[in-house]
Amino acid sequence: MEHKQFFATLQEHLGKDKKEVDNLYSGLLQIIKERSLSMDSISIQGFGVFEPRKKLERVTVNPATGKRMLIPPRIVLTFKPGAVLKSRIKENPAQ
Amino acid sequence: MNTKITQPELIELLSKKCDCTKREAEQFLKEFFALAADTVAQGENLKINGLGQFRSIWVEPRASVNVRTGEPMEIAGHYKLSFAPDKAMREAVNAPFSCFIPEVLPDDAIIDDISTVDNDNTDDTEKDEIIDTATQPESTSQKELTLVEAPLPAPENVPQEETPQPVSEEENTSEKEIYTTETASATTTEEVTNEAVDENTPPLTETQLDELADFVLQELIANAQTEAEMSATPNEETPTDTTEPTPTDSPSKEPQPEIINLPETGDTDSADIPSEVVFLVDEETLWQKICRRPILSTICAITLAAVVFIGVTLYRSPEWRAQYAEIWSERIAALVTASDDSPRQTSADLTTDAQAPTQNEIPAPAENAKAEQLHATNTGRENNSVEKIVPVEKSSPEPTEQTVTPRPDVTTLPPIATVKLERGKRLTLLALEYYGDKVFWVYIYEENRNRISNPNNIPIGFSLNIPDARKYGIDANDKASIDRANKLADELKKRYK
Repeated sequence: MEHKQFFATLQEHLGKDKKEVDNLYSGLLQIIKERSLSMDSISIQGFGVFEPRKKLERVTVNPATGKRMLIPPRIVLTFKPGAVLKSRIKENPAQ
Repeated sequence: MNTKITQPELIELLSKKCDCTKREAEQFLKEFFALAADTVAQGENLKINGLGQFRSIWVEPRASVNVRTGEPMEIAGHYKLSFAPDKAMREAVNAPFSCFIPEVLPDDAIIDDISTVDNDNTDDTEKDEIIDTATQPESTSQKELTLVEAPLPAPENVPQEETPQPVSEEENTSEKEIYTTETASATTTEEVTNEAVDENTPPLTETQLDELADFVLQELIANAQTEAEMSATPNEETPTDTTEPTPTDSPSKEPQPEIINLPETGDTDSADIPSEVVFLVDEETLWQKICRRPILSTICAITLAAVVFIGVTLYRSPEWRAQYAEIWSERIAALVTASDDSPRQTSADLTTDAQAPTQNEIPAPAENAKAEQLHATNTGRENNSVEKIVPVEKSSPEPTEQTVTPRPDVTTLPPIATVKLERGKRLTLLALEYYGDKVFWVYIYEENRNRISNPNNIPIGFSLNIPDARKYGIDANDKASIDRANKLADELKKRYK
C-alpha cells in the first residue's frame, strides 16, 4: 500500500480532513526524530517498538573494485514488531 | 536518555506538539498503527513517506537444535516484518554521526583494532612468529613482575632485585655469557631459550616490527588497565597490597621507550624487547621505594596510567604524528645547516632546508646522508620523516654537480620573474607556464610563503615571485622532481584542507 492510499483510508477511519491528519502525522514524525536524538525508543501497543541503535564502524570490501572501505559508525532507526503483530504476520502468509 | 516512551507518554507529547486534545491524539495514533498493522498483516507492503517502508519477507525453513533437549528440529518457514527507514528519517536519526563518511582504505593499511577480512602481507609462518615474539615479552615481563614484587616487603632483598637487570641487559650482546652469569632466576633462562629460537628466524621487516610494537602495546595497555581495575577494588590494608599498583603501571609505561628502540634494532631481531621490559620494571621498583605509602602510590599509579594513556592516544593519532614528523625533520635540517660553514638564510620549508645543505656539501654527500640517517634512526618511529628526506638527497647530486664550479648559493638565487596575480590565474597555471608542469605550483607557493597565508586563497593583484627553477631542483622531465613536488603538494593540501 502506498502512502496516498494509506492516508486516504486513515482519513476515512478518523473522519477528519487531510490537513488535520497531516498535522498529526508530521507531529508524530517530529517526536520520533527528536526522541531518536536522545536515543529514546518509542513503543506502540499492538504494533512494535521504534528504537534508534548505534552501529559500530566496520571494514567492508567492495566486491566490484576489491577496495577495502571503512564504513563509519552510525545510528539507525530500527523497528521491532511486537508479539501480536509478529504472530499475525507469521500466520497470515497471504502473498 | 535511553528511556522507553510508552503509549500514554507519546499521546501526551503528540497532543502538546499539535495543539489538540489528548483524545484526538490517542485516536489518531490508534487508528494509524491499527491500520498499519492490518495492512502489514495482510502481507502487503506499506510505504509511508517520511517514516519508511514496512515489508513482510519470507524466511526459509532452517535446521536448528532444541536448546533443552539437544534434539535437531526444523524451524518452519515464515514471514517476518522488515522495516527500512525513509531517507529523510534515516538522515535525521543519524544527524549526530553525519560528519562521518565512508573512506577507502589504502591497500597496505594495517588494521589491528578492527576485525578485517585478512591480512595478506605476511606469510602464515611469519605471522606466527610475530605473535610468538609479541607474547613472549608480555608473559616474561609478567613473571618478572611477580618475581620483583615478592621480595619487596623485606628490605634486605633489595640487592636481589637488582641482579636481573645486568643479566637481562647482556642478553642482547651474547647469550652464552648469560648462561654463565645467570643466577637462580628461572624466568631469565626462559627468555634466553626463547631468544635462541628467535635468532634462527629471519630478520623482521619494518612493517612487521610496527605490527609487533602495536600488538605489544595494546596487550600491555589492556593488561595495565585490567590490573589497575583489579587493584582499585580491594581496600589497601596491608603494605604488600598497596605496593601493587605501582608495578602494575610498569607495563603501561614501557611502550614509549620500547617503540623508540624498535627500529634501531632494525635488522638484528626483536629479542631485546624483554630487556627493555626488565629494565623498566627495575626502575619501577626504585620508584616503589620512594612512594611506599598506600595513598601516594595509588595516586601515582593513576596519574601515570592517565599520562601514558593520553600519550599513547596522541601518538596513535595520525595528525599528531605528521606534525611531529615535520618538527623533527626541521630539527634535523637545522642541525645539518649548523654544521655547515657557509651562512645561509634558513626558510622554514622542509624540502629546501633538507636540500640546501646537501647541495653545498659536495665533498661527502654520502656521509652526510649517513649522519642524518643515524639521527633519524635514533628518533625511532619517525621513519616517515626519514623517508621523506632520503629521496631528496638521492636526487639532489645531479643539480649539485652542475653548480659546483661557479658555486652560487642556490637558496639565494633571485626570482626570475614577478607576476601580478590576475583574475582567473592560478598557481598551477603559472607553474605550467614557467616550468612546464603544473605540479610545481608548490614551489611558487614556497617562494612566497612568508606573505601568503593560504595557498587556496590569494588576493587578486598580489605580486608573486617566481623562483628560479634551479633553486628547488625543478625539472619537468625528471620524474623524481615531479614526485617530490607532488609529495609536498599532498602535505600542503592536508594542511589547508
